[in-house]
Amino acid sequence: MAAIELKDVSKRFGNQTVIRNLNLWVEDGSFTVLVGPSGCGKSTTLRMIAGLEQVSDGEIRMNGDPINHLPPGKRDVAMVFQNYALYPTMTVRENIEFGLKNKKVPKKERQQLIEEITAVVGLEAYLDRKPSTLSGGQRQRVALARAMVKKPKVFLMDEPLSNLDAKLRAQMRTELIELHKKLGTTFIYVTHDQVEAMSMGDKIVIMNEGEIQQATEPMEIYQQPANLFTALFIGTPPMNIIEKDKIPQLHSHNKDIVYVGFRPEKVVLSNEPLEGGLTLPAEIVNREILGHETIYQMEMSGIPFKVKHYDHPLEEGMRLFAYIAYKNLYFFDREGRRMEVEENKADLQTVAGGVRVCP
Amino acid sequence: MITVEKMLKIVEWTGLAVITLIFVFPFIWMMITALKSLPETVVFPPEWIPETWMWSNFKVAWSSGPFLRYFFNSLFVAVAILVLQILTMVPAAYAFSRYQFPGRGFLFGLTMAALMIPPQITFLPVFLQMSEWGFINSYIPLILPYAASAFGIFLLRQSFMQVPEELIEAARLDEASEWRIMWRIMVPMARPVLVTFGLFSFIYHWNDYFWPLVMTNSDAFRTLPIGIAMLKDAEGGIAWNIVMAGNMILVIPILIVFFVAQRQIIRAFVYSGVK
Repeated sequence: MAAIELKDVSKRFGNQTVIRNLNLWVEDGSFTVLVGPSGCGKSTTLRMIAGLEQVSDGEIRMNGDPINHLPPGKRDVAMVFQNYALYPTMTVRENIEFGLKNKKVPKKERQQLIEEITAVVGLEAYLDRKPSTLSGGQRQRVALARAMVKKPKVFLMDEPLSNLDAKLRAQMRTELIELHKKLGTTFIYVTHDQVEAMSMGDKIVIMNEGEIQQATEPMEIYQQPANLFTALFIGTPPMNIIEKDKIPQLHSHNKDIVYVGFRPEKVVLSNEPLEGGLTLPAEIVNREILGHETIYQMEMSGIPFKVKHYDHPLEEGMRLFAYIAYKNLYFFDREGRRMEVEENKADLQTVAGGVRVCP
Repeated sequence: MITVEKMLKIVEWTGLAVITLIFVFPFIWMMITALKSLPETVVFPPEWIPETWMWSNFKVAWSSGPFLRYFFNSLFVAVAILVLQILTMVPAAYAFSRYQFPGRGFLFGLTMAALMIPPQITFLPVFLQMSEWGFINSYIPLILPYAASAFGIFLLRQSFMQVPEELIEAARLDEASEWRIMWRIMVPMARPVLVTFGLFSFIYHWNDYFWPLVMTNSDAFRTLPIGIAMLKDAEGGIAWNIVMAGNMILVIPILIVFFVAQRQIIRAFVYSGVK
């Protein structure tokens, strides 16, 4: 068990800076997910914690002690790779045993540990098989077993589920969550998939271009995005962002507000304008029926936005009013930073079917 | 009816048979000659089947010199070279394929240059150096100049480069030393290549005539090919049947090795073709 701290960590490859002054606190026993688009530096961050990459600047600490200088094998971490990285010439047993042998664990203890771990992941029947004869899910389990058998202080996982098919991925997701609960060890998990991040992490770290955009609990990220990037990254479809000037229904004295956002699932569609929120007259131009929900592509005088509904599908071409409650509106400044505009109703006034914002 | 496909198959098989015959014929001829009596080897037209099978030719060849000594020398030299080559090429190939260090390109270029220089060019300076050091008439000049194989390093480096980096990283996280990564992860994955190289090296040095001829001048260190070549010089005219029997003695160990390792060799070629 260990807490990990990154202090002012930077990483440069040649003269290209991939990570800039990163500060991160990973709590002991947490399931922390690093998420972001490809090239955002999440994998590099993980690899620096593992010791597979050297930091260019800054310090990585485990339980307060710097570990920068330690080689990967001495950091008490275990890693699960995207393509599993099982040793193809060794059997499942040898794969799991390799790290223990290197640590000079006595044979009896090794056998006991292997039995223990294989029972947990359900691999008893495959111990003498080579990885090439196993299915993707089984290989994934071998990779997990190999990591678990070392009883590391921190588990590092680099997109471990992305090579599995959708059904197996969902199943392994649940298994990993359960495993985390059972072991109580710190998990640091890298993914580009926001669904994985939201469903697995108890803390999500959203990264972009080598910087942390926001690091907090999943619901907080959904409800209180720190900036445009986070707002657009979490949620399917992503939050609608419209320039404030293009919404005549919205009046505000606050000159700093440049963008207005609202989530597609927070929009109420009605035949008449409703009071107490922003009401946009719009037309359904397209729809995607997904069964339990329908996503509408709507347009209000040339401005497109999306709406997600769970009701019976509405027809294309219908003219409706899209209503968003005050509390579901988000405001952003020119740099894309979220602005905490008081949700107090006294500050927001309706003006002819629109909203007046007076912070 | 003979279809076009059948015709093509017949042509193909005939072609293959002819080529096989061209390759195999000298070998068969050697085998037959080794079992003939001396007059039979020179009759014209040549006889296909010997009148009596002269198995004694082998005994004559074997006992016409210290052949046990030659045999041991050949085996010792070929095996020692192979062992040293593997001990040097595995770390070299690992370093060239995975490490970034100053001068890597230059050193690899040097290795490649060594690959292109035949022993016929280097034998004289090597001989002079060895005699200067007083090593002529020992195993050292037979073994040491071949202790590192540029070809082997190149071949193994290519094979090591195919190993995914994650495997090495996983091993490092498993607290494996670089030495262990080399021998427990990399070498087993390059097994087909190593087997192929081992065969090439063994056969080359087992058969090598030129280098041992230059570097030795006493029976104590001569190898089998030289001993067999000396059969030609024995007592007046050339006894071809005895020479061929000697050649058979030379070839049989190689055939045994080849049959044992056949599957590995074929796999090695299939692997290098697919990947």
